[in-house]
Amino acid sequence: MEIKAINITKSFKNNLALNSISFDIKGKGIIGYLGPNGAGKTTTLKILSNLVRADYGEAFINGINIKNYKIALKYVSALIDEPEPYDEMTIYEFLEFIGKLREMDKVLIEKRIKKLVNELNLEDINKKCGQLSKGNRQRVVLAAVLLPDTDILLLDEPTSGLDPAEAYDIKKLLKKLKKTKLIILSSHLLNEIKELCDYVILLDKGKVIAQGSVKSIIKKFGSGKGEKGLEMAYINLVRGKHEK
Amino acid sequence: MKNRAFYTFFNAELKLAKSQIIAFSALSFIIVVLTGLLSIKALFNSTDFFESIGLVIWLMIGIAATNVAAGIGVMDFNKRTGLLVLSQPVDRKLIFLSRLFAAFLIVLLPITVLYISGFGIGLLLYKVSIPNIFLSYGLAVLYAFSFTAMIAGISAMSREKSTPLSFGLTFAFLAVFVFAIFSKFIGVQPWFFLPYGGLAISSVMATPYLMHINPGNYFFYYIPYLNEALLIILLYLIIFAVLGIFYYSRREL
Repeated sequence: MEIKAINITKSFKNNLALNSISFDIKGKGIIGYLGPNGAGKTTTLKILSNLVRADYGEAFINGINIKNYKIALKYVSALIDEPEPYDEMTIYEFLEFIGKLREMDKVLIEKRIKKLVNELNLEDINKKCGQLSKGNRQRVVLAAVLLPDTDILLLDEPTSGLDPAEAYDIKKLLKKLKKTKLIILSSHLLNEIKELCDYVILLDKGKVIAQGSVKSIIKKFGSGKGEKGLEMAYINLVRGKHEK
Repeated sequence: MKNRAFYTFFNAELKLAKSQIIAFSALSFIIVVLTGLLSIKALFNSTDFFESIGLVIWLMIGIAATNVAAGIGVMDFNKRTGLLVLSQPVDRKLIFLSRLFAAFLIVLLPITVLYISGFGIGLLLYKVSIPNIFLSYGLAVLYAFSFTAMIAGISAMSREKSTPLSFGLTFAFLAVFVFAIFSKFIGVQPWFFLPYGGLAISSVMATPYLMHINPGNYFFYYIPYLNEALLIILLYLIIFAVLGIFYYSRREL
């Protein structure tokens, strides 16, 4: 399992969103993708899932260039920027729709839906998606992301919009998934990053400003221990204190 | 495997448009019945009746195709559904084409209802069948496909659904004025205009041969020859299908 970015640059009109970022992530576990608003986190994930094309540079999923997205994306499932299911479809229809797009057979789709209904506490799967609350829609979308059981997951603030109990369930699930998958988790919540991630990449103004294990980042740029240490490291990094 | 993704989008599109299919089919039947009642009241002969039915079909294709296809290129981009659907390992060209074919099929049903009910009421009132029914139906099918492709293509280039919607409805409803202006004031056939090609649908129904100029009640207007009509319809179909695929494949979210 590998995600590789080489000198990716992306501009929107005159705004430089990503300025030649590079990273190479291999193996299993959760990689925290951190940075202030507008740092380029979502843009990176969009490039890795072919929702946006890089102006320059290359991205690879398991060694396959993302330009060949029909093959590269078979290994990836992405939850980016609060997606929505189709309002007119029931939860079951929507999950079945995603399963079919992933070329899963009917039996496997049924099996995975059953499993995800339990793991994510989904309500009545015959209910129309348009009738669901924000939290329930988020869980349906997460179920759609997890349905194909891909090796790599790109998750952009997956607990956003969920109440503390729902967020707890998701974090519990992510802890289980990190044993077998490579997950990039973009989040503002430092406690979530500290709790779930083994490695972090910190982004600011479209550039990677630091990357390493959570412990090494705290040791190098922070002060204190645990969440507080990571918070100080984050503040020092985005305020440029590490450069002085 | 490509076929599976194609049919998945195709079926989803049909399911989502179920209410539109029913509404347009019911509306089509009602309009033909009303045209029949008007024909009795206004003492139409069979030529007038079938020409009216042809014009109803021509107009209905524009309205139905616009409503059904306006969302094709834009629905996943201006809503957040695309963030999930378009990050699947599925060829974007395939998504666009499957939705285009589904929209075409949705438009085809009300057209068929129009022909069947027009045929039935024609027999009932005048004891004659629709002249050149298969030729007219074939032209209507092609025109429907071309109109659907045009709206879908514009949709793929638009930010909001309202753009192809207003464009298509204006195109359908203002066609008559374009014909009038070009015929009466400029004296030119509007050969660049898709609805001009579509006029052949009604003209082959009204007469056993093609008129090139219809005197009309208030103004005369040109009617395309069959080969002209086919050329216009096919050119629009090819140009807008290619443009739609190109823009849909390159759009970013």
